[in-house]
Amino acid sequence: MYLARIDGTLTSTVRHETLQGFRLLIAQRLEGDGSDSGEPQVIADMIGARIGSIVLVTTDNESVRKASANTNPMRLAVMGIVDSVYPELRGTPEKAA
Amino acid sequence: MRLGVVRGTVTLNLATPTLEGLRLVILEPVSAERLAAGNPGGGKCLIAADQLNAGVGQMVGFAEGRTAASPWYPNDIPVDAYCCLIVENCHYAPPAAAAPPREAAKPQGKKTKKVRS
Repeated sequence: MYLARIDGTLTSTVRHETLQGFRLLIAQRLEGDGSDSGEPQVIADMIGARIGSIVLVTTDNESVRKASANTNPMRLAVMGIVDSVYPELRGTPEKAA
Repeated sequence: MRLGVVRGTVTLNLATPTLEGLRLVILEPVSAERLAAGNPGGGKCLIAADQLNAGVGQMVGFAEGRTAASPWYPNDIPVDAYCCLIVENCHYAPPAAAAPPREAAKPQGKKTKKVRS
């Protein structure tokens, strides 16, 4: 599991059948100090995170599989929306009201 | 799942039986800078299995690792990248004042010896 910042949203009509109905977001993984780490990732959202949110992302396929089917190739999913981190992450936007 | 742009296709003459009939595409993964600049690409190319018939130039989302073979569950096939979706519309708005990457934060120039206090 790791922390990520939601940087965008994504729409697609043609997708794997098991991904139908999932809300997809573009997330940027964060380092411990809040700086960006790696390339943007597409994650499934079943909670309702929005652009600018800091979220907890799981890398286990199990959560998505349980929500759809065993043949779901998706691995990353939002597990929670972060309220606060201590010490505070650098460079994160003001928390959405 | 990462984003990638389809750059081409691969056909196999001789293939392991489990890969027969599988469409393979060449993907160029998308980096954050290039996505923000509206010119997706920039990563190291890789080969992914594709059942959605993605065309050259289209942006797709691809799963990596063991879960890329999930669509064939419970059969095991030797695939570690799989096109899950074709991107139709992508709204990407990283914060303008994002924290600089770790490398940029390091002091430039000659390495100095660390003095332990």
